[in-house]
Amino acid sequence: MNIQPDDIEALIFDFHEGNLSALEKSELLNFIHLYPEYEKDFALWAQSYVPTNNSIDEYGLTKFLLHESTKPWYKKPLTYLGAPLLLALFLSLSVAVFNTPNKQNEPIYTKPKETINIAHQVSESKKIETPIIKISRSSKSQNYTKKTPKILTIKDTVEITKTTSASIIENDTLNSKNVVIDNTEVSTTKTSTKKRKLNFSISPSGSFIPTNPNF
Amino acid sequence: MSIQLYNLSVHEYNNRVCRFVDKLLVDRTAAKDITQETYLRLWENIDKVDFNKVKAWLFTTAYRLSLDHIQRRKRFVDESFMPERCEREENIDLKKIIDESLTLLSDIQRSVILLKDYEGYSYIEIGEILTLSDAQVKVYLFRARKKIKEYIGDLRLVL
Repeated sequence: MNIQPDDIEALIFDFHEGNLSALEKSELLNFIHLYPEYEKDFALWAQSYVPTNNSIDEYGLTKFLLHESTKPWYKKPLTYLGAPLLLALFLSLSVAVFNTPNKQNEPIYTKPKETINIAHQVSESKKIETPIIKISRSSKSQNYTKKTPKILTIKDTVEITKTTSASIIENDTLNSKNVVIDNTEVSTTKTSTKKRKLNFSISPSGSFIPTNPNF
Repeated sequence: MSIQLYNLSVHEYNNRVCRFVDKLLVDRTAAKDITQETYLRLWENIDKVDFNKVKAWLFTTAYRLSLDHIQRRKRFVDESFMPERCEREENIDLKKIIDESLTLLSDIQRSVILLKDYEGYSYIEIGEILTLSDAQVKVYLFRARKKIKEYIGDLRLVL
């Protein structure tokens, strides 16, 4: 290789860049050895490279740039642990709820429960005599002897006295207009008033003597 | 590219990209901003970028963003940041001299030097990143090294 002084810079550059073959490298080094004035240039070209070390400065961006992968729910291990736990919790709660005594239909006692003798009350109620029902109107009275359930519509003063051989005392429903009597023991008097319409005309009788001269 | 590969690229290259931009702009804060912007764009194009080419893609994007930043900075910043006016410290060593000399280079020359010396890219790879031919890369690199050599030589004459 014939080295010219004009090409020396390019050759030195290529030498440091690693673009020359081994033969070209040796020829260049021989040329510089022959002409020491190029040694300084050769050294300066060698220093034109940025000195680097393998360690890279940490700029603190890694944690900001990373993207957390969002796994689907069925791939998360806690799902398989959490689902049975939730199911067990639900079952235990439902068992606890349905095992509690139902107090919805229990009577509310004003006295202590132990002081009430229900059997005594029932035995006393059996002592009531047979029913006598009297319905007295203005001029008519009627006895109801049927034992089948009846609905009585009370329009006037109605006196009901009934004594049957019933065994259970029902609630007193006589305060309402409809009274259901079905094997019950009732002895009470119901009085109700209803407006009645009179269907007669008003005219003076024959013995009426008008005192008003203008009449 | 999957999320795992994206995270791998973050682990592998984020500091390299940031160092490249830092040396190019001589502005650490701007380098961090541009690196984050680069990775944001990578995330937006995660389906289009092949992981085998992600390093070149990152450096290309960072380089273009850096050029945009330089253009903006030239518009708003006065000329006090010119490298000729940089004050030299007393305890100078070769690394600092080189860093100073890098500021003398043009943006494209500095980019070529950084990619060649720091990242070890070949001419072809540098050409792909900077959209240059390998011959152009070689010419830019030669001119850049010659400038650095002359700066070092002048400095030695002064000292």
